[in-house]
Amino acid sequence: MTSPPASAAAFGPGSPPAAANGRPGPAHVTAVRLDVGYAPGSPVLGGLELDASPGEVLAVVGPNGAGKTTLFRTLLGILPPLAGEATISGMAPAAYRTAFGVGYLAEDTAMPSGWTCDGILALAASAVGPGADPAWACELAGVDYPTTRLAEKLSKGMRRRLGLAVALVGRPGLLFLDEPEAGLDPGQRMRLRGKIKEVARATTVLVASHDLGELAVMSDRVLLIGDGGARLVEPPPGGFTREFLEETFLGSTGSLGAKEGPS
Amino acid sequence: MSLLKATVQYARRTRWKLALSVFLMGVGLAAVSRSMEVNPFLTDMQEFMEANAPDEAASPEEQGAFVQVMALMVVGRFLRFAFYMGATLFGLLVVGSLVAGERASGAVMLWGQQRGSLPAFYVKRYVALQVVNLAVQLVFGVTVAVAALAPGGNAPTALAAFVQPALLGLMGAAVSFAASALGIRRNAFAGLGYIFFSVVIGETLGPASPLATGFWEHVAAVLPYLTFPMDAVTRFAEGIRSDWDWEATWLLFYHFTLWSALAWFGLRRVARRPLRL
Repeated sequence: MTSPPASAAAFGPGSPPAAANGRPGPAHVTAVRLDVGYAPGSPVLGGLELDASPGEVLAVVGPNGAGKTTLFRTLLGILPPLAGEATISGMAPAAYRTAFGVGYLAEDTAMPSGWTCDGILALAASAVGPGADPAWACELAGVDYPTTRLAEKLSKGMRRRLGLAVALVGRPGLLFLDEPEAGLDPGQRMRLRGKIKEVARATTVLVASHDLGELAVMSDRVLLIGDGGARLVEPPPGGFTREFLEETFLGSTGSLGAKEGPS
Repeated sequence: MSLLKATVQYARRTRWKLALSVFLMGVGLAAVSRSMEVNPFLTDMQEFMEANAPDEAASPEEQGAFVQVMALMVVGRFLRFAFYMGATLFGLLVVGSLVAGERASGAVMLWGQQRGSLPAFYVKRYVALQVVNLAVQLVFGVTVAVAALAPGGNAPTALAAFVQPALLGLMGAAVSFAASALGIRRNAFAGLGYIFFSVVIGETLGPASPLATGFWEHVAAVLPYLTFPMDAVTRFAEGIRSDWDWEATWLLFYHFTLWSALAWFGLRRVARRPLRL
C-alpha cells in the first residue's frame, strides 16, 4: 500500500476529523462486513472490508451494475447498509455528513431548474455556512465559463464541472466522485486528474470510473468490485499502469464472489 | 452572492411575466376605478330609481350612461377577480417545485452533501422566497390601494386593499411550499385545486348557505379550519378598515402554522431519505 500523504499522517483509524480553519481534515473511511443494496436479503455488494486512509485516493472499479454507486450512497449515509458497518472517521456516515459535509459528484449531475450557476453556488455556500469558498471551488473544478448562465442549459461537461465545484464548495474532508470524467474533453480530463491529486492533500477521495488510464495515474489503491464481492488491489512496485489495471480487471471478472472477496 | 439576492434573481427570471401581468391588471383596475366615478353614479342611479316610478323609461342619455358604467363595472369586476387570482397564483408559483422537484431529479444532493441540516436549509430558501413574494405583493397592493382611493374611498379602505394581496400571496406560498415538502411535484397546481375546492365548498356549505343545517351545520363550523382562508383574509382586511377582526387574525395564524408544520414534517422525511431510491 502506498503511504498516505504527509498531511494525513496524524490521523489514525477512527480519529475524529481535524478542524483546521473550521474545515474537517481528511476522513478515514472504514467498512466491516458491509452489505450494500436496496432490498434486504439480496445485497448488490456483500461482505465488504475497507480501510481508506485519510488523504488517500481510492479508485472503485467494476462492471456496470456492480454496485459502485450503491456503495457510495451507503458511505454517504443516504442508503442504510443491509448488514455490517461503515464509519467515516469513527462516525456513522449520515452523522459525519451532517456534521462536516462531504463532497459528492453524482453520476447524473442534476441541476435545479431556473437557477443560474451563480445562484446554485450561492445556494451551496448558504447550505455550507461559514467557511464556504465558491471562488476556490470554481477555480479547482475548472468553472471558467460565465456563471450567469442557466445551469440547466449547460453542456454535460460544463454541468459536471459545476457539480464538482458545488461538491468542493465546503472544502470537504471526504470526496466521492462518480465517473467524474464523463462528458469532459481530453484537456479537461487531464486537468481534472491533476486537480484531484491536489485536492487529495487535504481530502480523502473515493473515485468510481471506467477510465483505467486516468485511475492508474491518480489512484493510491484500487477497489475492484463485481459479482457481489470486492478485492483491494495494491499498486505494483512501479505504480499503477493502465495495462496492469486492465489485466487485473479482466482477470478478476467472475472471480470476485462475496466469499472470496475482500482482502 | 447572498441567498436573498440569488432568490431575487431566480424569481425575476422565472416569474417576471406573471408579476407584470398582475401588476398591469392592478393598474387597469386603478384606472377603471378612478376614471369612472362609479360610486357617485350608483348614488345617482339609486336617487333616480327612487324618484321615478319603476315603469318610467329613462332618457336615451341616461340609458347610454348606464350601459357605459355597467360595462366598466363588469370590466372592473373581471380585473379585480383576475388581479386577486393572479396575486394568489404568484404566491403559489414563486415557490417553484422546490423540494419535491429537486428530490425527484436528484438535485437535492447538491445541498444534501453539505454540512448542516437539510430541512433548515430549505426553510432558509423558503423564507427568502417569502420575502421576495411579500415585496412583490406589496407592489401589487399599491395598485389596488390607488383603486380603493377612487372617489368615495378613504385611507383605511386603501390600507385594507393594500394588505389583501400580500396575505393571499403569503398563504398561497405557504400552501405551495408545504405541498412540495410533502412530495407533490405539481405543488402550485395542487394548491390552486385546493383553493378552488375551498371556494366551492365554502359557497356550498358556508354559514350563509341554506344547506348549512343539521349535520352540515357542524361540518360548516369546522370548514374554516380545513379550507383555504380566503374569507378570513377578506375579513382581516376589512377589520383594518373598521373593527379589528380577532377571529380572522387567529384563523390566518392557525393556517400559516398548520402549513408550516406540514412542511416541516415533509422536510424531516426528506432529510432521512434525500433521494428516492
